[in-house]
Amino acid sequence: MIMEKIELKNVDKTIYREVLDNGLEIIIIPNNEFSKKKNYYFNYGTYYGALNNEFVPKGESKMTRFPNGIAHFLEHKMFESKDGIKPFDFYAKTGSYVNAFTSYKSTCYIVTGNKKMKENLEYLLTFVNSPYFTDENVAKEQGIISEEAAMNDDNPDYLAYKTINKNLYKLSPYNTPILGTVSMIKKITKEDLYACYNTFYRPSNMFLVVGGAVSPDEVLKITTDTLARFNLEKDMDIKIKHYKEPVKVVKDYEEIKGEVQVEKLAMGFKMEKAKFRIKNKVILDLYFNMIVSLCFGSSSEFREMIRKRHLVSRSGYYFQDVDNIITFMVEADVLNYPVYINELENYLANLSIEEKDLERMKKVWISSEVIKTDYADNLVDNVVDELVNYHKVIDNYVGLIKNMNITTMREVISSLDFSNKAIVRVVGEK
Amino acid sequence: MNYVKKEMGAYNLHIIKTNLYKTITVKIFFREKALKENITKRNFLSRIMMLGSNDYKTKVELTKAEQDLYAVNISGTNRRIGNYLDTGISLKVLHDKYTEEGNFEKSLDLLDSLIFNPKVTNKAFDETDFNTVYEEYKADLNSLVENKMTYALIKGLEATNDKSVISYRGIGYLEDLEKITRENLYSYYEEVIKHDFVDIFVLGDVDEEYITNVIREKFKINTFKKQPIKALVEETKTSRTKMVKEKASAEQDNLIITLSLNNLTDYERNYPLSLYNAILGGGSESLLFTEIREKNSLAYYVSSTPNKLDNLIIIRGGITKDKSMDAVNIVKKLLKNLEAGKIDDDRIVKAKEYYTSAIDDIIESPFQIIESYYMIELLGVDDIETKRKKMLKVTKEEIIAVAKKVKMNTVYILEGSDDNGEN
Repeated sequence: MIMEKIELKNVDKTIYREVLDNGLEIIIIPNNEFSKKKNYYFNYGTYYGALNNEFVPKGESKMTRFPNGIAHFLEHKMFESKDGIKPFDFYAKTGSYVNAFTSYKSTCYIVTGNKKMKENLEYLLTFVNSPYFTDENVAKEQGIISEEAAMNDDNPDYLAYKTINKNLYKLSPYNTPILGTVSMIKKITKEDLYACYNTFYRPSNMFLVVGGAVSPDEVLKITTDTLARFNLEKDMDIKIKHYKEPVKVVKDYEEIKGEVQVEKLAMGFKMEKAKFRIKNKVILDLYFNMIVSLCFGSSSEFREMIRKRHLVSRSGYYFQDVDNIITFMVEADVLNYPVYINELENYLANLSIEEKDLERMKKVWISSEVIKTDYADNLVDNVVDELVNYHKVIDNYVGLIKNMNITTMREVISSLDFSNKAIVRVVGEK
Repeated sequence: MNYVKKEMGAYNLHIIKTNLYKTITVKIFFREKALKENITKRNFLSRIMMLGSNDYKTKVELTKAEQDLYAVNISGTNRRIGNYLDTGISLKVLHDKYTEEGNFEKSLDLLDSLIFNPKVTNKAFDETDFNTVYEEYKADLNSLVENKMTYALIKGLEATNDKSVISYRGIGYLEDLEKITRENLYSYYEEVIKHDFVDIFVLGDVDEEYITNVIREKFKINTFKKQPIKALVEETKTSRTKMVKEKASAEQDNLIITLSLNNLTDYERNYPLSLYNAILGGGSESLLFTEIREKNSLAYYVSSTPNKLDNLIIIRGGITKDKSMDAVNIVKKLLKNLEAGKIDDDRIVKAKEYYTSAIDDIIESPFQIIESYYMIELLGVDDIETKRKKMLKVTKEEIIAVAKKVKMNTVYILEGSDDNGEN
């Protein structure tokens, strides 16, 4: 078999790509020949996450609503099997590690190990393609996931995060935690799980990314042979309900009393994506991340100032991409709320970046890309992120960084609009 | 991979030559006897030292300098290893062949400046930096109670033995923070630089002679040699299991169980104990996970960790409100079964596989490689290949012998309740 070879430019790394007849996209990132490292990393994922709660289930024709949190619930339930052998037990036999993660956009099953690569890959492909849901095992999981939700709710940072999303988004499922809520979790049935599984866990809606001590031909053969045991066909597109999220925030201010000693603040500035001239999502994200690094990172005067004046004890900043909306998010442990808010808003109104700073940070980012190629797990994670966010592998990331320029940077900054915001504060009771 | 250790007088230099990485990693370990009153000062010191030096007056200046050196990454961490307080300051930077000639040496200069040229005037740390660290650190200490898992662990260990080093809070103490001044912090700094045990590791595609010379020239440490102390902590004796409960406003119970390890031999501590713990609560196929989470759905997370130098195993779990005692009873039953030798051979095989995989995982990260050599230096443990051989030979009888030396010491439950804390 001849696989497509992709050279990752400027970082001296070759990866391999193949799309099987059933639609599964496979990306393989082998170590260099001389490497003595033995670990391999699998990530088998579906483009299905907490965002997809309303869609036309496979074999039906009507748009159907499912309880929030079902993608995460389904992820837990994939660890059941008819013969009673659990993936945890299977992988433990070779000292390997298995886990799974649900995000808003995807569900990923990961395996890491350094023994019995073939058997471990076969088993991953097998268990994710063998759902086994019963009323009993669904009821059992409701208990476990309720504890997971309780653990999250006991964390005040999470409470602030959960509430800000609720107050920012009216329609987008970002307004609800990935886990759902306990009352939603309790409504999930095994029939719901099969409907979601059959719709989204299909090769044409999935990907397999493999990295580390592997040979591309062998991985391809194992995958093709294993999947041949299942009756998998290439599918048509899945009809998913899309939301046009209104730009206006739902609730602009909320104060929650909590058991905190240091106030937790979460803020979101919601803006329309259409306002930005750059339509290429990869490039737009690069500029957003650059703004975060330069204006809010350790080299920024703003961060230095808020530290020195003891306005916050820690703070984080990032952009959230929600379909037609871009939200600039702030999360902080606040020591002096009124002054911090005031300084932040002034700063946001006058954001600016110097060319020499942009060039310096480009150098930093390029160095990081080179360092990353030492770590197969990082490379796998990167490719998975690219697939989930952009549905493609970016083969010239360093080139895109090099092309960043101050003119475009300033244009992106001028398109930012911080007028439409929501604030959530978790404050102590005393 | 080629390893050499060199005595440099006041410190040891360890050079690990390998072409597995495009980076060069340097890690300097400072360690001293663990005294409770020094923990907070030591944390304070690493925080303030990472803010700048006389050559880099602000964090902004320092960060920009790091970025100009192709994103050299410098960080510091503190921990306790048995009776030692251990601080690791590390540097990771691309090899000059990927950047430019001299970049590595300039990176070392920067590290050197942070450690040996702190922002100090008249034997006192810089006032602005001091106040910044003070406020941030204070907020972190105040927030401690907000994280129920960490809080429960701290209280669980204090309930086990609040006099012993095992209960020292790694994050530090508010009352000790209040005693720190710019002046006494500097005295402590001088003490660390002069009296701590120091080991320096360099890992990468480097020339041994060159590294030896450059380190000798840049790191002029002249510590007074002291007699090493024993890392192993004295056992926490127990006659009967202590039970401590506390209430907090929370959605679930946080359960901590400490298990004392009595009269373990060094061999037992390094080998059968690891397997015993892996079987009990080491991973997602362990007895604790299977019985408490999978069979009884009482928890989302539950696991056990051996603190082998503390002669302790710690079990942690987030348990359904009001159901902690059910989990405790399951643990009691599991411990009894292990003691009675009811261990499936299959579980032992899995535990060994888990261990050998972890050994092969070491070369995936320069910091893991350095850590494994550091443990050989500090604790005199076997090298990796000897470890693999010995672990594979451990017998079921040896694991049972360890099981008989395990005693449930303390059960601590931070009970979730709707009303607000305080009994």
